[in-house]
Amino acid sequence: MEPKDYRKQIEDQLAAEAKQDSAARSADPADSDEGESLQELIDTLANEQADAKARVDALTRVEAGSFDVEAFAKVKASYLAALRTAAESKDDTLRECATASLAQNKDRSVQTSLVAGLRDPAKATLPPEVALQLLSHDIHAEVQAVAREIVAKPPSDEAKVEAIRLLASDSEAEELVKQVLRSKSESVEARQAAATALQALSTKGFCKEAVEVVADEDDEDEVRAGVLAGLAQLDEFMEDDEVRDAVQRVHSATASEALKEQTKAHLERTGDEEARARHRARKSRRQREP
Amino acid sequence: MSQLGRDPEQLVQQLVATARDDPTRRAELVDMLREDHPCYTDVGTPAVVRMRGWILKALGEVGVPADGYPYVAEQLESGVDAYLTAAAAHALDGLPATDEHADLLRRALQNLRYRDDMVSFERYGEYSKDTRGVTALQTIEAALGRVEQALSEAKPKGSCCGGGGRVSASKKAERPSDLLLEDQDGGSTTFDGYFVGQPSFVVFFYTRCSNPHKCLLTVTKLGRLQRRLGDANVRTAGFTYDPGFDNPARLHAYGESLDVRFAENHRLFRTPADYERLQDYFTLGVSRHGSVVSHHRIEAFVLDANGGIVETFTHRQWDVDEVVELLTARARQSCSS
Repeated sequence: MEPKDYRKQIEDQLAAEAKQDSAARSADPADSDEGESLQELIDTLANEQADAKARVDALTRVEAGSFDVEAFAKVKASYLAALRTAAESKDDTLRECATASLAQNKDRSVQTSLVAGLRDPAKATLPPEVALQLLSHDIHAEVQAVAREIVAKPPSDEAKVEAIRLLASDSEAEELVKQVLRSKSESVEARQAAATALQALSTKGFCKEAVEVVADEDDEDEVRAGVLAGLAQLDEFMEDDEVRDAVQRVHSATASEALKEQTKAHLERTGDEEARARHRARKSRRQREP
Repeated sequence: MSQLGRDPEQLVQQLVATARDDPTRRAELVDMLREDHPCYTDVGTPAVVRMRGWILKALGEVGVPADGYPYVAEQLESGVDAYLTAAAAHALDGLPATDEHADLLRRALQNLRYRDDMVSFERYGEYSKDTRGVTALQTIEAALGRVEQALSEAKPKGSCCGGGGRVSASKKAERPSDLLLEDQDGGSTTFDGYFVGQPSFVVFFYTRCSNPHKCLLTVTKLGRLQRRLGDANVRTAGFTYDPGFDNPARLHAYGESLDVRFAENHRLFRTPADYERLQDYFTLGVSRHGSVVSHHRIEAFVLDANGGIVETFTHRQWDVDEVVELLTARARQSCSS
C-alpha cells in the first residue's frame, strides 16, 4: 500500500472513531449541559413507585455522571435528597447502594440512622458489619463509642472485626484493642484487626505487644506472621535488640515455612548496616533538646 | 447524654422555643454557641450540627446580639457544612445589612459550590428528601439578595457589630509553665522552656480536621508566616487539639505536607499529658465526642516574651501581614528592653 493511501485509511478510521465517541458522549446524561438528564435520573431514583432495578440503574448512572464536577454540582443537593428516599427502600440492593453513597458523602442523616441501627437492631437498615464499614468513612460520625460496645458485646463475628478496625481512629481504645490482641480465645481475624488498629494508635504499644506475640511458640502462626509484618514496617525499631532477638528466636525455632521466610526477611532488613546508619542519623536529630 | 445530665438536643429545642416567645433570652442562645459549652460535651458532630444550626436560624428571628455575630461570620467565612451555613445566612436576617455581610455571603457561596444540599428548617433536625426543595446555595443567594437590596436602599451606618477576629487578651488561667510539650520530631520541652524569652505566635489545629478552611488553612498560613518572619527573634508554634492521635510522626508529616518550617523556633507540638491545662490557659473553643474533636473555632494567639497572651484571634481568619507586624513590633520591644 502506498504511504498516501495508508495515511488516508488511518485518517478515515480516526474520523469514524471520533464520530462514534461523539455520539456516545451525547447519549451520556453526564454530558448534559444543564444537568437536565441527570435530574431525570435523580427523579427516577427518588420515585418510590419505580422499579427497584431501574432506581439502582439510575443511581449508578448519576454516580458515573458525578465525574463531571461542574454539571454534578448543579444537581448534588437534589441527588442527596433522592438518596435519602432510596435509603429507606424495602429493596436490599437499592437501600444498601443509596446508604453507601450517602455515607461516602459524609451525610449526617445517614450517619445518625446507621448509629441508631447499631444501638437498636430493630432500627437497623443494614447488617451491623456493613453499617460499621460505611461509618468508617468519617471519623466525625460519632461511632467510636458504639464500636467499643460492639467489641465488648458483638452481634456477630464479622461485626466485631469491623468494630475493631474502626477503633484504629479512637485514641481512647488502646487498652481495649490490646486486650483483643492478647486474648487467644479471640478469632484470628479479630486479633489481626486488633494488631493493625494498635499499630495505628500507638507504635510503642504495638511493638511491646507484638514482640510477645511473635515470641510465643504456642500462638497462632497467622497472628504471629501478621504482627511480624507490622513490625517490619516500623523504622523506629530497626535497632531494637529485643525485637531482633525475639525475631531471631522465632526464626530458629518455628516449624512454619511462612513464618521462617518472614522472619528471615526481617532479620536481613534490620541487619542492613546502611539502613541502620540512616535510622541512627534520624534518631539523633530527634533527640536534640531545646 | 452530655455533661448537662439531660438530652442536650431537647434542651436546645426548648431554649429556642422560649427565646422565640421572649427575645430577651437570646443571650442564652448565644451562650450555647460557645464551642466549649457543656451541651456539646460527648456529643457527636451530627448532633452538634443540628443544635448549632437550630440556634443560628433562631437568632435570625430574634436578632443577633453583638457577641453572637462572630459565630455567624465564622460559619459564613469558613464553614463547609451546608445546613450550618444556610442557618448562618438566615441569622443575618437578625442584623442590619452591611457590606461585610454581602462579602461573607459571597464567600459562603464559594465554599459550598461543590457541597450543596437540600435544607429544611421547618422541624428540628430535619433532613430534606424533597428533590425540588430549597438548597443551601439558594438560601444563601436569597440572603445575599436581601442584603444587597437593603444596601441599595439605605447607606449602612458603619459596621453593626464587627467582632471576632482580633481581640485584646482578657484574664486567663495560670500559665502552664511546667507543662510538658512534645514536638514533631519527638523532642521534649516545657511551656516556659519554649515560650519564655521571646514573643511567639500560637495556632491550634488537628490533623484529622476535614474542613479545608480551618486547620489546613491555618497551618498553611503558619508556614507562610514563618517564611515572612525569616530570622526575626520570634517563635511560632502549632498545637494539636488531638494529642492522643497526633503523634510526632503525624505532626511531622502534616506540617511537612503543608510547607511548615521546622526549626528551633518553629515547631508543632502535642501535650503527652494534661492537655486540659493548655485548654484552660487559652480558653480554647473546642468540643469533643470521646477522643474525637466534634467542633472547634479558628483561634490563634500572640504571646509576649513571658508567655503571656497579649492578642487573641478567634472565629475569623487571621491575616498573615497583620501578625507579622504585631510580632516584629513585639520583637523590637523585647530587644530594646
